[in-house]
Amino acid sequence: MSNVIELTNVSKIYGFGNATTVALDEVTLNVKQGEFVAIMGQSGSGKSSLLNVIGLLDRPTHGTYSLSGRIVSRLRPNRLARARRDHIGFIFQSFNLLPRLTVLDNVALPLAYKGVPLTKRLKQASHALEDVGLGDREYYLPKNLSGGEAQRVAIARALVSKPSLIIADEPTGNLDSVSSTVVMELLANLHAKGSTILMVTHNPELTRYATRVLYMHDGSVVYDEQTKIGSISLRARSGGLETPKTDEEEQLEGVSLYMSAIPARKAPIRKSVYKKRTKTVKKSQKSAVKKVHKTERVAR
Amino acid sequence: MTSLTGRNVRMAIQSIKSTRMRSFLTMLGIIIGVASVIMAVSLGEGIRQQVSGNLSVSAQDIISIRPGNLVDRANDGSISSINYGAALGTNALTDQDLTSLEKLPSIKTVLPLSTISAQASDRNGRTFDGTVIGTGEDFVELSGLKLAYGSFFTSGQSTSDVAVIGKLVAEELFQENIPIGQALILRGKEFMITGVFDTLSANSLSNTNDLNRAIFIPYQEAKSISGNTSTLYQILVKPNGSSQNVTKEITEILTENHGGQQDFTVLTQAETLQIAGRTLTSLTSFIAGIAAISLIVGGIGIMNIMFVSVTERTREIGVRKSLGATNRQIYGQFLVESTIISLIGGMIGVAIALFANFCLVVLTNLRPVATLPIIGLAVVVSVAVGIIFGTAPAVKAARKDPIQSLRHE
Repeated sequence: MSNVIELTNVSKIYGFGNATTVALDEVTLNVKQGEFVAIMGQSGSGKSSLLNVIGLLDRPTHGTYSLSGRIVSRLRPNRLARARRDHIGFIFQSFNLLPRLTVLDNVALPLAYKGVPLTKRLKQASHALEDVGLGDREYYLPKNLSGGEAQRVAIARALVSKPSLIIADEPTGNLDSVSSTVVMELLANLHAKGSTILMVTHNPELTRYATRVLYMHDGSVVYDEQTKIGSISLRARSGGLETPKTDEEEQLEGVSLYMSAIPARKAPIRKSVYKKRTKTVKKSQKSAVKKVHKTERVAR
Repeated sequence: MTSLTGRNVRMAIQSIKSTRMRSFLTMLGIIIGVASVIMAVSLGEGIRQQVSGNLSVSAQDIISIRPGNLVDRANDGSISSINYGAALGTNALTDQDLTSLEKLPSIKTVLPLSTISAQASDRNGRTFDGTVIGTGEDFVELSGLKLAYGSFFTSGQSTSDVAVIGKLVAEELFQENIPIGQALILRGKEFMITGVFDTLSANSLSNTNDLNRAIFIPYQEAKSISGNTSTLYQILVKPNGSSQNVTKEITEILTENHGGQQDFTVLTQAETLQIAGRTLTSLTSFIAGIAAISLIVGGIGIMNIMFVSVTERTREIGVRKSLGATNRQIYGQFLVESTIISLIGGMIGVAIALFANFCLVVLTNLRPVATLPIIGLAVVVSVAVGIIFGTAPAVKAARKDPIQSLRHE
């Protein structure tokens, strides 16, 4: 099987100077065609940055990314948009259907940007809607759909242009359990038909549908596990998302190393106190001088 | 790409429909701008057509002499520029000019036109503020104006107390259509009315006076009741032969009369028309220019609303970009929207201007003429305003970062 995604030492760095954030730290990752990859990790671990880079919404700061054998890490925005249009289908947590368009128009939108003629794209969109079981909702507006239905429309939209990669960012995050199952079964179905799917999730249960589970921490892939469909990932079963453990000694050593790196400094004296003190000292000095003068005069 | 433009148009109309009130308020600037530009231009055009129509009706070979040096002439004698200020306040024509013109063999008729200030009243003490014009018996022939009732005074009546009045004088002062034989009092002297003019649509002979409110009395009478303070504002001359040579002759004689000073203007009928045309054109373009400012203001309104719209729809932009829309496609979408708002505004403006013109035709004696080129130009300008002022918001939309946009609430 050929690699759909090939990331080589990909980094993504935001900001500069003291405010630098390393969102992706030298990630190397290959995803073969037909894989269903679940990406897990705490918030801030770099999952979204990874999805943005893979989904061509963002360019990596360093490293090479090739999508379906073509290097795309240095494309200009317009070419990036075209590559995105031709190769990638997005499914979002919050569905992101356009509220003013009908369900059919929403699904046909990616084809419009491809330049497919009107009747043809409506036909294809209609087929895609039937594939997700919503053939009878074509002329509904998104506000008239339930959450599960809206997400199925979003799946139809992601499918309609037959992308080589489907990216799902917590597709069940806003859904109840029944709708979640329906949506995940749809994705499983797509996977069975040969689609490559990349899914971010917080729910260990959903790793049942995946063939591979990645854990991310601080911008790196710290754990990469091939799993069988139908079984929860070992990592998820053993407590799931905790960060790689270090023993207490290591931690203490680390802390003392860190502390010793900070130059020692005396505790600062607060300004107001310092002023008061100096004032009283000056006063007492003055009064002492006066006393001396008096005693001198008396002596004369 | 064409299918996408069609889609953009539909999207734009949808978006305008969904925010009807706001879109209408946005269009209002354009509507007012386009309507006022069209109305100003069509009124100017209408007046121009009326004036030239009147002049073509009256005899073509009449020469008019006016005080003040109204025009500068090029070497070949054609008018090179007009001195608008010269028409004000000068009173250089005299009775001596009249007599010397009458002596010229090439001239058939000389007709003085003078005004005096006088308030007209009837015997019941009702008063009327109109223009009192002292003139000669050839007035009807030279001006081409028509009497509705009665007759104009004749050569035998040059010192008689007779008057011919405009239609409005009859209606407002005497409150009847045919007050012939009644007395009109000017400066304490009674004049008998012998004729009433038909309604005069426009006045080619005077740019300031409404001839429907004018009272015509014999020239000598005007002089005598005003104590020789009447203002001779124009002399009309009908030559025997071609007007071109006569013009030169007149200029020479009058220059001699005025001590070598050319402080008067001799104009053929065609030149009068030309001056009226030029004056109207500059006046019309001035008013249209002021009206065009509201188009700019309207454009700024569109820009403002489009910026708001771009901010409101940031998430939509993010979604569209994630689905593969290029910057150019997003740019196109918002540009089409602002252009359509502006275009619809322009078309409503045209409709309002045409309706207002219709009302003017029905309710007043103005005859505005909205020609197709004017309407076409107004529509094109409104589209241009949409494109120009929609560009900045569209660029802003196109440059939005997809990730930030998708996070936008």
